[in-house]
Amino acid sequence: MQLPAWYRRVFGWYPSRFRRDAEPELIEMAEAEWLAASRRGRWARVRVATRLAADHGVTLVRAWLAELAGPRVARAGWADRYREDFRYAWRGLSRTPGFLAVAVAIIGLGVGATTTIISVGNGLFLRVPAGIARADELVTVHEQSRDGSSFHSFSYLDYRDLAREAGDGIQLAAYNMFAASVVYGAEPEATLGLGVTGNYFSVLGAVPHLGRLLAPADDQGAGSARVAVLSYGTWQRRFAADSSLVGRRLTVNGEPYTIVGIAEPGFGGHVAAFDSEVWVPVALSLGPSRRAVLDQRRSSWLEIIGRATGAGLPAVTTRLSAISTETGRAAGLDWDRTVDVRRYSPVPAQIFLPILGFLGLLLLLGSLILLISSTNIAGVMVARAVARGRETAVRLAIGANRWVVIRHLLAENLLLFLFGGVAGTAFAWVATRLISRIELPFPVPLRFEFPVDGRVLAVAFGVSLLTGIGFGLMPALQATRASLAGSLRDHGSDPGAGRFRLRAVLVTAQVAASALLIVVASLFVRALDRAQRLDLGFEPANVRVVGIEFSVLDYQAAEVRAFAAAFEERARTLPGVRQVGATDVPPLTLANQTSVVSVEGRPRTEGVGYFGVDFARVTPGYFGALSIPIVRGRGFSEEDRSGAPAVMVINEALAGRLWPGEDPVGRVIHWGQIEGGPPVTIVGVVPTGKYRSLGEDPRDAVFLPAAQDQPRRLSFVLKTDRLVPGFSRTVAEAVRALDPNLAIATNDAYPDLIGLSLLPSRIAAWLAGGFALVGLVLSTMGLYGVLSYLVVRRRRELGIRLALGAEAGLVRRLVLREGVRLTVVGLGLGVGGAMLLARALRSFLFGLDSVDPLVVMGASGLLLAAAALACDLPARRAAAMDPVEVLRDD
Amino acid sequence: MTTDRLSLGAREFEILVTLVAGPRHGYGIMQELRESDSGGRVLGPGTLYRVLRDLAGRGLITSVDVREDDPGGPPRRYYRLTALGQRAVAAEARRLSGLLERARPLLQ
Repeated sequence: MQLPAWYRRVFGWYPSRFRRDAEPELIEMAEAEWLAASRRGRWARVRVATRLAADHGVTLVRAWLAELAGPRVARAGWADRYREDFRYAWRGLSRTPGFLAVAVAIIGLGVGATTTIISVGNGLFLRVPAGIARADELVTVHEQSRDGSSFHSFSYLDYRDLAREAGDGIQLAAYNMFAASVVYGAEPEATLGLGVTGNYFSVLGAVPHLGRLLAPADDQGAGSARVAVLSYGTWQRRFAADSSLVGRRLTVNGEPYTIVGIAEPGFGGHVAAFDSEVWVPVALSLGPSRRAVLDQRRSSWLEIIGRATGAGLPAVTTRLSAISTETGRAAGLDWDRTVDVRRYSPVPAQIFLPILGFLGLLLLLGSLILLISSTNIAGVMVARAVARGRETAVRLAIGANRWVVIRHLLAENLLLFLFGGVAGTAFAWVATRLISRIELPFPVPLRFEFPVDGRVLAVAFGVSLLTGIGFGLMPALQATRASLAGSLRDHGSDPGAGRFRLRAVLVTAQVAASALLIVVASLFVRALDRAQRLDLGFEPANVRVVGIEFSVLDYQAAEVRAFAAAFEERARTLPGVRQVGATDVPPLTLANQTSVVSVEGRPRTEGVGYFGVDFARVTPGYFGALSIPIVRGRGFSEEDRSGAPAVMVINEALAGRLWPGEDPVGRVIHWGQIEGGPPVTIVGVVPTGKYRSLGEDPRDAVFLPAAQDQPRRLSFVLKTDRLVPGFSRTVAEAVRALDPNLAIATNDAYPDLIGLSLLPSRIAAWLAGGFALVGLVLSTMGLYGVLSYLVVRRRRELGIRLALGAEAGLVRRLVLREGVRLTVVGLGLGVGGAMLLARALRSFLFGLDSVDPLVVMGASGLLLAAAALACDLPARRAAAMDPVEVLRDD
Repeated sequence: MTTDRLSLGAREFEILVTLVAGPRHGYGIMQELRESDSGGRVLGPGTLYRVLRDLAGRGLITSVDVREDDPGGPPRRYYRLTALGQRAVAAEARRLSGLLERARPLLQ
């Protein structure tokens, strides 16, 4: 197979001396490599191609460095020479401290923006959480469902089978995140704990700071030892690092545990940003009454993480899938159950892509501002080089090597970008600290750490260096290419045409990037605005959400119902409260649960005979408290209790799919299973709302009376007619009066909870908006610079025109036209780019997926106005020239 | 100066060893390195070229362009050890075999 054409083509970029000497030899070697690889198959080819490309890159840089260093010199001379270059560059820059400061700030902003985002990505995706050994051996295992969709959890029995049969070199541990109510001091506090199998810590390679961690002996199913491990942070914060804590008691979810150890500092589990406070044996993470699921193969609630030593992913997948298929068959499944094994990532597989996508978007915005700032500086550097044209020309004329002059210019630029890199790193350092302070209105122990570590520093440095060289080389090449005589005479046949073109290109790039940012920012603003006015299907204003997790105290169904009734009654008497209801899954709070409904006598096909639905268990007051109108039939009443006929309310979307055009009220469907679920009568229909996210397409949803089912958590929704000061405390007291041991998981205004799902878009809008503003200022400055240069450059021509009787207005228009041309081209590119981007951003834009004319017109108007401002002064200056003086100067 | 010029890195030593049996061209060296299976990383063409240039600069090897049977083709560049290079390889080999002797108890 032929060596890929690019390998030869890259030689075109090498210094010619290097090419003459080395090209045939290198090609011969590469060809032989390629031939050998081709025989070994596709992957070998990919590997060799990657290696050849990397080799090319390194060799190219070295070849140029050697070339720029001039003819062979002793090694000692090199360093001296470069030091001299930088000293010279520093002298040049420090002569204009104002320019230096502004340029460093501009570059710092670009480098800082990208570095910040890369730090966040690094902190989430690449940094292995503390206390985990040899993370490259770790894998996560998920069950694949019948339709091939992934990321399902396992039952305890399935986990036990897999762990036992996995064989040599594969150790599997399981864990279950659970809502915990821990009594550290006087009152119970809501948090999330981790129930883990006895080998969890040893699989991760974690070690204790004090005492011991959980061991396999602790993990005995329902008869597990009541032992708990605390995190180092919890020990420090809650127990003032009391070294006698090990052996003492701790109440978790109403049950007494013995603290057996403290995990090592920094260890908070294996999930990025999640910082578990307490670990208990996995079976105990279920309330006592739920421990029956330990023996049920159908209850999937465990996640598996494992360590594979010596076996590759495919081998592990094959082995575990075989076990899964076998145990599935034995349990009566009629299909081959398989598992999905992935390399461990600190970000869970389920949310890996969405988070990566969001960071990708932010990185794109950051890169745009970097592009704008780099091109802006490059434009200024061209101007500086031109201003020093005489000096350069003299140096070239007295025989200085062109490369030597380029080196000096490049050194200046590199110095500038390195300072900018330092400023950018400082920017990133501050920004990441601000970001890690974000607090969520949920009792989830999160710890964001985005350290500016070696990797991030390397990126910041690399970005500065590359942009410094890239954007420095252009002006340097351009400045030294000019005709010697032309520069020396300071006029003549337009020596600056190339420079003007280069600066024009740079300015167009800035305008394009700014236009893109402006359009994207306006898209986000419009989307957010739309989201505010979006019909949610319910009214969150003046509603407080009070979430309580009953499973933590192992409440039985009857107790939950009793508590709910008592609390609702008490809440109705609180000041300002108009209506009260409850649900186990409040809409738009990042939680959801799904099930199926089926219609008898129809084929077993999704969308025909059965339908996947979101569902919630609600109390009778729920619809009223959230101002959800009942469009047909009725809502729930106190009569819909346990023992009464089973009823449900469905939304219009589902009604339309079940019986298009017909009234569903009074009809019977089957609940919970594709076939043979219990029959339930539909008693009412509510409008379709937004359930999971604001941008979602209409979803099918079902509501069940909480009294006919067994909710394990409830969120009470309290509709008030006004803002009541201290309301959250009043509510908390009402809960405590009924049961002082219940921990409140949520106690927030509903709009704040919804705001959380707007957060990514808000962040993007703020960033895009801020960057767009900076981009606008910079590109206006750039435009002004390039037009001023144009006027200087064409001084003679314009002077002659004026002398020959051209009107001042004509000359002004001439300059303006040039400015408008650059702006319009940039605008077109930017808006085009934004249109392409808009589709990819759909999920952040709440359904808005195209750039509407209003946004384009607004952005264009803004940019054109800025451009007019930038053009005005140079144009006036051109028109006000005194032709006599211009021609006399000649 | 001389000590600096003659001290050999593991990679340089391996490359020089491929030339002990006689002159080779760059591609031949590369093949030999790959097949010797000494566990090192495979060198890219550019990197190998640079090391060879460096070795030549230190006087350990020398290169000669040879026109082969194919009259139209470019000349091939052959590398061979200089006398200095041979001495350097021998010295390094002696040093390594001395080390090997001392480590031998571990190999039993």
